[in-house]
Amino acid sequence: MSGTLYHEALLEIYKHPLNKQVPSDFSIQHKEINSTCGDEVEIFIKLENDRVATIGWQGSGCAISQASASLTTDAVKGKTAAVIKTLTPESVLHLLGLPKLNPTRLRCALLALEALKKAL
Amino acid sequence: MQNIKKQFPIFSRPEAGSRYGGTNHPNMIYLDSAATTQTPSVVIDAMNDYYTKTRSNVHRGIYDLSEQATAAYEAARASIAKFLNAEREEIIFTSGTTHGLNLLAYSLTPKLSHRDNVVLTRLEHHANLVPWQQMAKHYGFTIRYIELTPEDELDLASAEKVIDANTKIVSFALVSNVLGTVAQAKKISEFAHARRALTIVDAAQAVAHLPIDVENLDCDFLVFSGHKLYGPTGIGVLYSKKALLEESLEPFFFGGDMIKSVSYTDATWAELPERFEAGTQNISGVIGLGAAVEWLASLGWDKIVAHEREMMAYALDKLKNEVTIIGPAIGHIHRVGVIAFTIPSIHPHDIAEILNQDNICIRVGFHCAEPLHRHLGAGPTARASFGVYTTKEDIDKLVKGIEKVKKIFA
Ligand SMILES: Cc1ncc(COP(=O)(O)O)c(C=O)c1O
Repeated sequence: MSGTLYHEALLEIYKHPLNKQVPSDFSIQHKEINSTCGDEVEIFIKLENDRVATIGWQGSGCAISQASASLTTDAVKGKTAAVIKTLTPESVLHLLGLPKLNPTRLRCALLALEALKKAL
Repeated sequence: MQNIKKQFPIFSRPEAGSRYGGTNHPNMIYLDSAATTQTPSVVIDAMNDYYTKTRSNVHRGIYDLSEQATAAYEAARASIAKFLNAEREEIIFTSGTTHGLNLLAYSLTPKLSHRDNVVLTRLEHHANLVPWQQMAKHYGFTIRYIELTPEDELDLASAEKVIDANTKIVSFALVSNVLGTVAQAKKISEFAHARRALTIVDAAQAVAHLPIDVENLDCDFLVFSGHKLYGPTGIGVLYSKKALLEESLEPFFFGGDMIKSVSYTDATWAELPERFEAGTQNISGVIGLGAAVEWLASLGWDKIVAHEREMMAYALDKLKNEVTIIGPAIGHIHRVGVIAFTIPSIHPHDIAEILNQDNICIRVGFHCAEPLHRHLGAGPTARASFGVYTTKEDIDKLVKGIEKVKKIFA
C-alpha cells in the first residue's frame, strides 16, 4: 500500500507548494495541529459573496500533510462554504492520488481539510 | 549477544495458522526498544506458568495453589530487589514509570508551599514534568530546571545553583530518552541531600542498559517500567528507601491487602511493602518482570554494556555523515540506547514511513519530550533505539533505508 505513497506528483507538489503564502487581505484564519507528529497547517481565507475569493496557507510537516494543504486549498477556490463543508476524506485522497491510508497517515492527509472546515 | 534474537519469539519464523491473526517477523529491523522492548521466551513462559499452573490470588488463599502463586510473586520481588541492590520491603509494584512518578508527585507535594521549589531538568519526559506542573498549580511551589551543557549533558554547575535551601524534591531522568546522555546521579543526589531535598531517579531508559545500584546512586526513590527491560507491559517498580516508606510516605491507594485491621470508622496499615499495594496486583506482570531481571542479569552486565557500546559507536559512525544527530555524537560522551536525528528538509514522519516499507521500525515525533525539542530549537525528530538484540546488520539496513529516503526526496 505505502509503496505508492510517495509518487512523483505528490513529491513535486511538496517541493513546489501551491498557495503557500499569507494573502495580503483575508478575513478568516484557522490553524490545526496534528499532535501526534507536530504537523501544522494554518489557513487564510477571504470570502466574497460566500465564495472563496482568496486562499493561502502556511505550515510545516510531512510530505503528505503539506502536499494535501496545497491541493486542498487549490481545489476550493471559488467554492461556497456550504460546498466545502461537504468535502469528504475520500475526495481529498483522490486529489492526492493516494490509496487508503492507515489512521495515522490519514490524519496527516486530512489536516488541511479539517483546518478548512473549522475555519468556515 | 550472538544469536540472542533466537530467544525472542517475535523474531522467529511464522508459525502456520496463528490463532490471533498476527504473525512473527523474522526480517523485522526493530529499532524502537526505547519505546518498548521485545519479550524473550523465558518471560512469556514464566507468565504462562502462572496462568496455566498456579493461577490464584496472592496473599489470600490457604490452599496450596495460592501459596505457590504467592511464593512466585514474592520470589520475583526478591529478584528485583537484588537487581537494584535494594531490600525486599523497598520494592513496590506499580503499573509503570508514569504511575510511579504520579504517585510520588501526589504524595510528596501537599506539604509544599509557595516558598518551596521542585527541581527537574531540561530533558525530562512528560511523565516527569506534567505531574509536577499540575501539583504546582495546587500547592503553589515553583519548578526549576537544571540546564544542559553545550554537549547536551546535565550541567552540574547549574544543578548546584538551582538546588537551594528551599528545594524539597529533585527529580531527573538517569538516561535521556532523546539524547541518550547519562546523568551524574550521584553528584546530583549529593547536592540535593546537602539541601535536605529528596531525590527521585527516573530510570525508565536506563534500566535495560546500565546496572543500577540504588545504594550507590544514593537516591531516595527510583522508578522504572517492566516493558523497557524485556518484561511485560503494565508493570513497573517504585523503589523507595525503607525509612521514607515508614516515615514520610502515606499509602496512596486504599483497599484490600494493604490493611492490618479495619473498623467502620478507621483502619490500620499492613507491613511494608503491602501497605503500598492495595487491591489485586498485576500478578503475572510481577512474575514476568522477575523473570526478565533474572534473565538480563544472567546475560552479564559487562557483556550487555560492551555490546551496546559497540552498536552505539558503530551506528554513530555510520550515521554521522547521513543525518543530523541530536545530542552528543562524539566518542568520549557515553550515550545510551537512543539516537535521535533529523534529515534537512525531510520530515521525520516521511523518514519513518519509507523505512517502514522495508520493515524497519523507528519512532518519530517529540518522544514525549516536547519542551526539550523546543529548548534545542528542534522540530520533531526521528529516533532509532537499541537493545541487546540489535546487530550491525540492523544498523546497516537502517543506513541503507536512510539513503533510500534521501533518494526519494532528492
Ligand atoms: C525517560 C522516561 N520516563 C518515563 C517514561 C514513561 O514510561 P511509561 O510509559 O512506561 O510509564 C519513559 C517512556 O517512554 C521514558 O523514556
